[in-house]
Amino acid sequence: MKSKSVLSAVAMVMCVIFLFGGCANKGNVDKPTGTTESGKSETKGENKEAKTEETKKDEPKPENKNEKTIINIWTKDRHDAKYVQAKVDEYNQKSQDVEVVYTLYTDNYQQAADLAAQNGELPDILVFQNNVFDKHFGQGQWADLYQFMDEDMKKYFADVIIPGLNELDGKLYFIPTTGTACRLFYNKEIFERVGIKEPPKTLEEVLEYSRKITTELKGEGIYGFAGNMKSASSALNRSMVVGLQRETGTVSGYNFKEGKYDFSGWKDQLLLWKQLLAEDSAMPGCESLDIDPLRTQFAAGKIGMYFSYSHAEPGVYANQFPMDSAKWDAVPIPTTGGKVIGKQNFGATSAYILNAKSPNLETAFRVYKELFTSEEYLTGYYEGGYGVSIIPAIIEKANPSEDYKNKKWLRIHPEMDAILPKAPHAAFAAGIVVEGENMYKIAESVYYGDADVDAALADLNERYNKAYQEAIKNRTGYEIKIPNYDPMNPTLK
Amino acid sequence: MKDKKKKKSSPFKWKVMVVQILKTIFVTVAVIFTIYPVIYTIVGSFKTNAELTLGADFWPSSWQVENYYRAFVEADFLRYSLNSLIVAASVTTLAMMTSSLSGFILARRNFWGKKLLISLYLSMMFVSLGAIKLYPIYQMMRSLNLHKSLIALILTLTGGQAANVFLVMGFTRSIPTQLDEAAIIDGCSIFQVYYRIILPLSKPILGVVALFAFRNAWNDYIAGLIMTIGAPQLKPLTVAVVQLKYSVNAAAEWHIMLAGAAIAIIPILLVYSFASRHFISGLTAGALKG
Amino acid sequence: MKFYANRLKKKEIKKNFEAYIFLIPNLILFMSCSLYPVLWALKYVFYQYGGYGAAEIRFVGLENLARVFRDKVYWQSIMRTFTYGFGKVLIIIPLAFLLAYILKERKKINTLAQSTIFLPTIMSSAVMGLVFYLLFNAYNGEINKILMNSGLIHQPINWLGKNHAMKTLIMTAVWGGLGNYMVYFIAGIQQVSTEAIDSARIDGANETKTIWYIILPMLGPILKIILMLAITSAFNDISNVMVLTEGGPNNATMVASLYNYRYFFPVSTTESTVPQYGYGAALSVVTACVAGLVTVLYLKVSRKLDDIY
Repeated sequence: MKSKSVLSAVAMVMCVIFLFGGCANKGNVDKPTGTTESGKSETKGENKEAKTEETKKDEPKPENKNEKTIINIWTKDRHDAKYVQAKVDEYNQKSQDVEVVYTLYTDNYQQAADLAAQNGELPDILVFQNNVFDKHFGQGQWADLYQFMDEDMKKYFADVIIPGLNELDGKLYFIPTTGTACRLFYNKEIFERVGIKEPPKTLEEVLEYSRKITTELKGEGIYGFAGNMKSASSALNRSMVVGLQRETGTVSGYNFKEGKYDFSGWKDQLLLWKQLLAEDSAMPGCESLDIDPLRTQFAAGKIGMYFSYSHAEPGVYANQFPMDSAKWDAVPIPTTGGKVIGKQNFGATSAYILNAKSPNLETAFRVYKELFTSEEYLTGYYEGGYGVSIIPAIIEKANPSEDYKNKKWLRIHPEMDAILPKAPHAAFAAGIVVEGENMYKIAESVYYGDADVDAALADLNERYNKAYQEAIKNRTGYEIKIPNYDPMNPTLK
Repeated sequence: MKDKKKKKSSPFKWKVMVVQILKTIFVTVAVIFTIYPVIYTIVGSFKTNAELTLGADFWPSSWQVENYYRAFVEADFLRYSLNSLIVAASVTTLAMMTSSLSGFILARRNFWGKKLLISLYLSMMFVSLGAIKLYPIYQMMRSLNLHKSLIALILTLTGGQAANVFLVMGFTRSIPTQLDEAAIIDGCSIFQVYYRIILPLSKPILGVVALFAFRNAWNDYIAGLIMTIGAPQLKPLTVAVVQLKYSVNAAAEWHIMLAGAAIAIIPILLVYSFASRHFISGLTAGALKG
Repeated sequence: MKFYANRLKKKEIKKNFEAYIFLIPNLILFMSCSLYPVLWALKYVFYQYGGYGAAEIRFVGLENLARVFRDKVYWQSIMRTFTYGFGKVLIIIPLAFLLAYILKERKKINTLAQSTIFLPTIMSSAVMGLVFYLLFNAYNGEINKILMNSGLIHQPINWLGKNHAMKTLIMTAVWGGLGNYMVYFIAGIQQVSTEAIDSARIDGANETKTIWYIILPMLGPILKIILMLAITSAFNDISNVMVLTEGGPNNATMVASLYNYRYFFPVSTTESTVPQYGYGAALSVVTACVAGLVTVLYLKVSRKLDDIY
């Protein structure tokens, strides 16, 4: 009957599958439902055993080199992945007793790290990411680097050891070697074509230029402005939120002087953003754009301006999506009316944190030291255009890519960039529960929705302050107040 | 056929013609609507990136087989395909085994707790927590130390089988009990009854179970995403394909993304071309009995 | 007597024992993959649980549930689930019925058309979500190119933008589900006796009248199943939404399943998002209740309708 042919078809497919998979136990294909009861459980057992073998084979750890210690490194960075992978391969070839396994996570880095942390399975070394560090810091998850560092190393990195940032209570948790600052990137060629002489200095100008470009060049598929608006937090954290640090002196809506959240300063920018993202200005489809597709469009000369990080873009346009370096440049993030009363945060990047609970902590540190802090690595990193070095010795010696030499604002500028303290929701991320939508989603509801700005911001103030107070009350958080806080000279404590 | 003859002899022949043409157009549009994304994927996977992003002719100017080579080798799709094959094959086998055993015994035996069990199975068919149930399952697999192997994903995807158990149960009930009784009189144990009598007769329904188990396992995304989060080398094809969007280069390389997508859909297309009738009849069998 | 009873008992025990042996493989999977998550969720409804060590699990009583009822965004996502579900059903049902009616006869060409239309049902909705993203995106999408080349539009349509995202999502869901429902209808139509149709024809009823007065009423039972399946499936669709739009823009496609999921597995890379398992459990339990309530209500209403007939 037909049914027979179904079953034989399935069996055939499965045979093919097993052959293809190079699986040894074809036996259980021939008798998928077993012979007798005992036979059945046997087949099942076999089945499982075979699977385990196969999965073992799948893992990249070579079994014949058992004597080597395996050091796992996780990263989320795509822009330097090729460089680091090459360095790792080189290291593995040289090393006698260590095998480094370098794993690239993408958008799910945080999820993976969270799950792994809960289950005590974090790798030996992780690339530093603010949230991952913050969330698991309280559990004693990260190793103190001082315990392994010799005096030379301490001296070498003295300039990037900043109490309150990476040195907490006399312990050093990570060493940033490059810095990143958020900037506005623009296409010079497009600006020239529509007759814009100077890059924008105020957010109003951004809007004006964006509209001008879109109106004049829309026919060619060229638009004035784009943002990776698919994830509001990802987009705003590299643009509006950073601009607002300079414009309002608050950090993510938190006022350190008064020790409370105050989002009212967001209003002007939000209203400008709403116009900036409207049809007559922004590239259609921004709403569903991730940063990489956006970069491909920028590289293809379809976008006038967008916001991003200074450490990533040069590498991206040199390697990932090639674009003539002469065609683009970066300027500081424009603020409303050019108003500036504070500094903006720069990210300390290319840092690695060590899992304190790793059984091979000492080896991990050795790998970390030899791989990521060697002068050769750091120089190559800077010269390859993967990040702006903040290590004085490297800056002195290295011959960085043309981009960093010629494009002033790709570098870190102390008169504008500083390390800012963390707002409560970042400082004790796991201890504070804000009910409802976060600040980014609320901002989105203003610029893409019809939410009333004043009501939305008042609601944000209320919810964030309430959650903050509750965290203090439940002792899952603590009060952060810096009475003499000066946004132009920010202190961390 | 009778209808046709009647239509032809009717005085309103032109009207029938128009209706017939409208029907044909409607079906043609529906067919194009359904097949277009599939064709786009497969044809597109042979194009160059420029052809895809700049928009060119429907057919590629030259067939870029190397796209597949790049997906398999550079994007490591060989490993992910293998993962998917192992998972889908194991889930299919396990699903057939477990559901046929349970379905048979539920149809043929009365035992303590049967009613409770049936109502539990039934209620779980209607209570659906959605994807979040993967979190407790992941934690459980973790405590059993299975989360670093494909077994976790295989077991998760096989799952409770409630619907399939009922399907098999219903089918077994339609097999006359005289057959079992005769066998028991001949001295067969219940295991032999199952293996010698019922199992050969329930091939049709097990075929249905197998087809759908294979389809679900092969196409699953979210369980694969969660269960392999700590061991990316175990991820199945679907997860790998979607993550191409965030990979180092593929964000700009549509041809690689499409080649990846094609690799994920072609095997199931092959299965389907063998067994499309059975998919369709299986679906109705499931719906009408379930 | 006693002896006999004992023997009977022994036999009973043996019978039970045998039955359980058959059940065990499936039962283990059922308990761990179906039952356990539900019990787990029911427990954590009452806890605040961030997932980092036992110290932070805190009993909060009904607070999580109270919060669900305060959570406006959640109820919006429920409404959006209905929009999605009903939008899908309202488009699919008539189309699927017409296709089924036209293709009902067993002819080679019909079978071919059926198999083609059924094809999307066997595809991974996640992989196809990616393909649809490539097809529909505003900057490079094939659909816009085709429409512009044919002169139907002059500006690219922002298919995944805030105004169209839900429609696009529904369109892709229709693509994925059409074949399924068509097959249900074909099965239903083939059950309607040809005699009834023929006799109607002889009585002079034309095609539309036959459909309206003979076929549709007789499809009642199967229509009920179909609607049921459509309603419950709307609450479960997640991977297509996740891959195509991730719920955006501005929550335009944030359906309940995805909203709940995000409390377990926060998606963002830069946002300081901490999973909230307790609250997520509460959300999913409430969602399951809403879905159950809708099903029950639907069954009641359709039974009432049956009585009217």
